Amino acid sequence: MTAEAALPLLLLATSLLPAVVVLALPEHRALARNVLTLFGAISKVALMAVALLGVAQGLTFELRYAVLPDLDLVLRVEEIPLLFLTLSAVLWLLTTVYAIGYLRGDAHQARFFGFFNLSVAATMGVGLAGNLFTFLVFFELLTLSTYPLVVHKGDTKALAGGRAYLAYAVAGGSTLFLAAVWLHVSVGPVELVSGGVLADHADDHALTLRGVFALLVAGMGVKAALMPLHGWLPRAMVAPAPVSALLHAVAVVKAGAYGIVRVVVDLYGLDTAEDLGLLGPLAALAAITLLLGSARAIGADGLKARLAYSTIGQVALVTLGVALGGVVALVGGLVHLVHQGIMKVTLFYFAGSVEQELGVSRVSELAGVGRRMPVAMGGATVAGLAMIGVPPLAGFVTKWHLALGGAQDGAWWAPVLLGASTLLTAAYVLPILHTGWFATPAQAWQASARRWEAAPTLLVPLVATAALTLGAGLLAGAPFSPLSWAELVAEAVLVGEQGAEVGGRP
Amino acid sequence: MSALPWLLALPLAAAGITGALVRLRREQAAAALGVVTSLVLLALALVLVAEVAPGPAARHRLLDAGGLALDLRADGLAALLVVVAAVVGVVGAAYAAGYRRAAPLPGAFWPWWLLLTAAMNGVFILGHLFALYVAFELVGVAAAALVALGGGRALRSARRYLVVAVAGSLVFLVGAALLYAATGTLALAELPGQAEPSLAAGVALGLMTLGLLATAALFPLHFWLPDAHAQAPAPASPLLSALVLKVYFYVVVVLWFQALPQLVTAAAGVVLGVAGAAAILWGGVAALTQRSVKGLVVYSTLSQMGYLWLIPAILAGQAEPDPAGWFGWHGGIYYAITHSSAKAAMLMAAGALVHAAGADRLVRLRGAAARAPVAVFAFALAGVNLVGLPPTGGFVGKWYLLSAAVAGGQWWIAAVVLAGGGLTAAYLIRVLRLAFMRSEPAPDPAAPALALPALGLALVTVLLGFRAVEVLALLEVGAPAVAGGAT
Repeated sequence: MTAEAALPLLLLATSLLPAVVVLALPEHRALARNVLTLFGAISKVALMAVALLGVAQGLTFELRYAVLPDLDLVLRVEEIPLLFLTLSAVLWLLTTVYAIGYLRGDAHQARFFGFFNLSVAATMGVGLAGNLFTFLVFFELLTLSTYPLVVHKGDTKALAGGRAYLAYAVAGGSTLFLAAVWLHVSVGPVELVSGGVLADHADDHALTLRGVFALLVAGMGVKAALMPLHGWLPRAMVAPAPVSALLHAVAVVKAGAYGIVRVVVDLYGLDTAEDLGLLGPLAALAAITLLLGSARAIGADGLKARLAYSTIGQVALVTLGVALGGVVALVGGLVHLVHQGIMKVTLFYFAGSVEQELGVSRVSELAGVGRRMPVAMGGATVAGLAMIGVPPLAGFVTKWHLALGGAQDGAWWAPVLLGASTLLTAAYVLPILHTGWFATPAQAWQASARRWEAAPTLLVPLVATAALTLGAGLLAGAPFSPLSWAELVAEAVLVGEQGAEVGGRP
Repeated sequence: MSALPWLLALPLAAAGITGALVRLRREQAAAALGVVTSLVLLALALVLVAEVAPGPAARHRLLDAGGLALDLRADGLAALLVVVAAVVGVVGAAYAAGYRRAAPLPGAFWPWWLLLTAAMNGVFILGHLFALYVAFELVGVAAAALVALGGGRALRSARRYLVVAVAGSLVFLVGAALLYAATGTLALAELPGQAEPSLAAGVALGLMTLGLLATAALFPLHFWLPDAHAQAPAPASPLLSALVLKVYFYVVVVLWFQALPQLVTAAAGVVLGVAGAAAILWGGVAALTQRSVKGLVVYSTLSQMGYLWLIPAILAGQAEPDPAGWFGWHGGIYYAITHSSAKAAMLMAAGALVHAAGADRLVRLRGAAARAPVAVFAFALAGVNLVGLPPTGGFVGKWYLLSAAVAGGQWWIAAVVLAGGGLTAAYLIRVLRLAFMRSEPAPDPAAPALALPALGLALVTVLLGFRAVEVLALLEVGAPAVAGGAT
């Protein structure tokens, strides 16, 4: 096996092997479990650095393995996957630290961390997928490996949430399954390549390609929580906070949005999708989801429920970015893959910290938290403001590109839509910040609480992601910032499409 | 020297010896012999695969006297099924040996079980319809005897099973006699050239199929199956559900697509396909309403067997190779073999869980994931295979079944395949929901001797999900023309 093929395999193995070992370890071997999980997570971040540098120098990392006579499992490190993979690797490391602190003293930790690692492996597979078949395999594995995490608490509410999650996910998976088979039978094996590969088939199979696209978006839309397929998400937030954090920021919801991005950009190609008339309806779907999701968040009093509805709206921005069809909007959508992740994970870390430390789970109970846990509250403030789109934070970079890109391509309504979404976002974020900093607590915090802040294992990841949120906005112009990488990707996509027009890339 | 005759002789001899040992109250020795025999059978099955894989089909003249020639033969499909039976057999023997320590298992289990193995191998490799009749008459008797070992209520179910099996065999025999009258031969190798489409030949094939369908428990002829399979002792039900039902399916497929394809019409295929679709949906819904663990698994068997009967709807009436035929044949067979290991794993896990819980009631599974994690994991993994999700072989099978439906434009098959998966997921969730509840008191831990074999077979289905190339290549040997075979 060459070094180029080994890298994708190692990216999988750094979580797959810990998963297997941790599942087999007895419950009381906490140290071995934590060391192994962290070792896997740290090596994965190191591997990602190698991959980033390699791809920037023009290397291709690809692993190919025949499962069926006419179908390969293809794992490939490319431009768009790198955005998703880097985000996943970094946030998983932080979330691992957070989860170790959050679950201290809880039962069934071996099971939890086993499946936790398994879902990282599945996420890595989704990210690395070089064709639709591979994507489908890991997408389903993601569903299965996250179920035990969602129901971890084992009470009636958690189990009901888990049931809703599985029901939606299995239905979505079946839709995706049919779409993948239909495409394979109609046009033969196709891979996901920058710029898209279906341009040559657009004339012969226009109707099939439209049908397949509808099924693909429906299947992935379930995970991406596109309305009206979002019903599972608010119910699944009964999961432990680190699980919600990863479900919303990296793994499940993000995997759905990432899938839509890859289908539009790397399977159909922006131009082909536009020619087939697919982007308009997708943009409309994203716009409706953006507005309704944000509006629903305003009324929710449960902190995690509010964050869940917020995710529905925020992730729709990614879909909107690819659906607007222009390169500038594409940059906005791609960069938001990363931005939404770091902002939302910060807020879920915050929600978990106040719940764990103070037993507070409602927005209306947050009064005085700013005085009791100023650093955590400060981190949440950075993330919250960034999500609204306050310059110069991460969310502003996204919205600027989306609005500008939309306006350039004649979608006059895009700036209006983003303005409205900003107002709605402010309407559900600002009450959190206001109550936390300025309202006076109804009663003094229990004296038994020994610490001033949340436990370090909870606080350090929170501060780190808040700093990333700040940095992604302030240093957007620096090399290797999410924005500059997204611009690089968009350029590559453009080259790919032009190549496709003169006869297709090999 | 071909492995073919040994696949029959060895289990028959072992059945006789274990019978004698049990008589002499040497049950320990009988169990040991049963395990060793199953291991040797696995080795023989692999030898057979090595024999068949380079092609053409293996052939061995067993007897040639008094004008009666009896061949043993194995093409890719037969060899594959022999291997599957051997793999399930090895794990099943380990499970039964472990079960003896946990709960009483009558010593008579071993001779009947070995006889059943011999009879099933016979169905897979005998090349003559009358010999086949004898073989699956034996399958019926041995299987009914295994059910009866459950004692109590199981006796009545076993009797009913026996009646159905004998009646089915007789109908088959009448059909075979008619076929002999019409064609002058019952040797499978000679039939393709001999049988001209005629009313008599058509009726003959129809009768043989009908007899097989009753014993295969295809909807709506399944009435006898749930009781029989649920009341059999835990080590017996994996074999019954995972292997025995497929024996009859195998014979139908051989008759329809290899021996007598010229007699088969597309309409007849659709009839079987519709019955299969009804089985998928009805079995799935019935599984949703069960209150016992084994009941749930047994109805799930009814449901999943339906997938196999979709193959005739895809293949029947076509003589030319086409993509839908290739997909349908390979997908259906692949689904069948992954179903064998998954269903056996699921029943073994169910047996372990029921044993730990002390009663066969679903509600007793509350909290099982904490105390019996290996058994629950095996159950879930097998369930994932049955739903048809990666990373298991069930996914590969469904991928091809869906491909066949789409390529042939038969969208109703695609809808049924997906709906069946949804139903399977729904009753899997029922079990998982209970298992993940945190509750006191939790059930006792499951005995590792029962949970580990289940896990082993469940992992086999994962293996099948990651490497299908070799298995599919083996199937090419002797595949019917519509599926791209050379014959």
